[in-house]
Amino acid sequence: MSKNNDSNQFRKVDVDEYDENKFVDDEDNGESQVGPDEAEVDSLIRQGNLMEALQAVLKNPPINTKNQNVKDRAEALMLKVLSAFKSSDIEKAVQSLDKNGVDLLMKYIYKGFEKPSENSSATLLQWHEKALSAGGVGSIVRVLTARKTV
Amino acid sequence: MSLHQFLLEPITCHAWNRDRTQIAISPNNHEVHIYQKSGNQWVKSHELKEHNGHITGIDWAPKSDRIVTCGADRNAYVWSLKDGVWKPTLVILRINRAATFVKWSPLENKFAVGSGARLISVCYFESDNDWWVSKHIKKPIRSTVLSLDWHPNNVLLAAGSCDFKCRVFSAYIKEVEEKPGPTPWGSKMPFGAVLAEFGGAGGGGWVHSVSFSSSGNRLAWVSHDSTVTVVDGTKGSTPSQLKTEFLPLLSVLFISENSVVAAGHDCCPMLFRCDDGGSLTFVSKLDLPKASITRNISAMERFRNMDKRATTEDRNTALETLHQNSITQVSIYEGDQSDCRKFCTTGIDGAMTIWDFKVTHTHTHGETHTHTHGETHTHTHTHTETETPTDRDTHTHTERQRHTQTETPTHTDTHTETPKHKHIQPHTHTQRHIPGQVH
Repeated sequence: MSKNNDSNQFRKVDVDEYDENKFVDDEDNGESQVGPDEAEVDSLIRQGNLMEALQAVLKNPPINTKNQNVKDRAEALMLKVLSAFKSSDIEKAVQSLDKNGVDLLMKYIYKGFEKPSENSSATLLQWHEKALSAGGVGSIVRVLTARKTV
Repeated sequence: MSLHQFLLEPITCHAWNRDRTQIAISPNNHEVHIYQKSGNQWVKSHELKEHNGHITGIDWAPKSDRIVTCGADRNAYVWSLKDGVWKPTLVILRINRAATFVKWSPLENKFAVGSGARLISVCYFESDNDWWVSKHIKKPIRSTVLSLDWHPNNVLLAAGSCDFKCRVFSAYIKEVEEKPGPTPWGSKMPFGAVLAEFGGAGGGGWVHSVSFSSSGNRLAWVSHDSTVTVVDGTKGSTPSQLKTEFLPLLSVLFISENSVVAAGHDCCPMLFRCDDGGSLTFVSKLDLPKASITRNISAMERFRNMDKRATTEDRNTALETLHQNSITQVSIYEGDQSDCRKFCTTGIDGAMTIWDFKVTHTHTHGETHTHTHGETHTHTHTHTETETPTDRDTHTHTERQRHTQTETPTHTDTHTETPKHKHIQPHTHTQRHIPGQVH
């Protein structure tokens, strides 16, 4: 019927920017976090030891660091490990994780959805299904409510 | 007809009187409606109209029979019954944002109001000037206060807020009470002091609800990141957090020293156990859907249902749980916080349900059987008992069905020999008055 052709730029303005009561999150020193060890994970993938690779890549998540590169590298590494798995092994791999592991996996999966590449979405969707049955909707809620994520 | 209309309105909050013959609810508007129990029905007896904004909290003091209400109009009123009419007294809260929650203290000489103004208003009655005075607790709250609970000593106050933290404050008012003795939470308690602070740290979600146990030593809260956390003040200050796989919970309540009931967006109350070591475990959901009885619905009924709902396909969109929408508040109906036999839930579907369960002692092989008893009162004027088999009135039938259903999910494997461990064994009997089924 009627289409709004005016500019919607006003929606991108942060109205709270100059509010003196603005909530500032606790500063957490995350400079020391370097993310999972790439060399170790790569060697485990080459050896075919995918379960170990998964455990290794879930170590040292770069949650608090402000360095975007570290986060990108960790995400790329995670994607490499997840894609290396055979579809039939995914379920077993998810079962081997504890609750925190499943939550962290879910965070990486959603991070991966944000920047889809060639085949990433398909693999991620398979992993998402298995992680969802292990962690329930609660794990997704924790991805959404986490303020500092991978 | 008007009665029907508000039935579909969400019940924002509710409060019971002392003997549970009356309930005060707010049907998501500026009013509080008080319903009186008469037989099996609830009849509206009073309407409290004074607020100019939505009512966000109601609390009924059991001993002094006063109701305090707070609303989005930044006001709170204390209501007293005079000659059969509830008369309001305005309380100047001095807040510039909506009030979100209100609770009488255990001795009913003060009440606390949480607000969006990032502060808690603790109000007490000054008899010299014959009015209610409020004192503010501001620091270090940095966002809306969502929920409050008083410690049994009438001084400590737990507050859950949108800045992802749960805190224990002192609300000691020297004008109305004696200096309190030391507690596991601390011994120096000037007004407004923070005795404990939990949560935050880059994670967590808004703290929707907090609850002290009956001894006051334990504090439980539920947060928007689908977690339940309990901390035991006597055992140091490391909270025990349980990350659930459900949608976030909105209301939490201690029903014994070791058990916590919580309910929320999954429309179903859930039971958690907190053992002596302080760790929290999920026991079970307390609303078990009965096994679907696939009955042959006549074609006539099928089309009638489609007509009624104005749908084009024949699909049953009702939830399996008793509540058809999120549960926003859980309260004690029978018993007290150390030994609750019945509790009540109200939610966005406008329904009020009373759950009852029995607490028994340890089973020898340590399996918890949880059955629930729910009676939905949906306040329908047309009280037609349906004859269709979907009516959950068949006592023995459902009990057996539920019995088999619950064997699997609850394996607590507790191996407890100590008899003081209580296991919840509710028994099923659900009676649902399904509105509007006409022959």
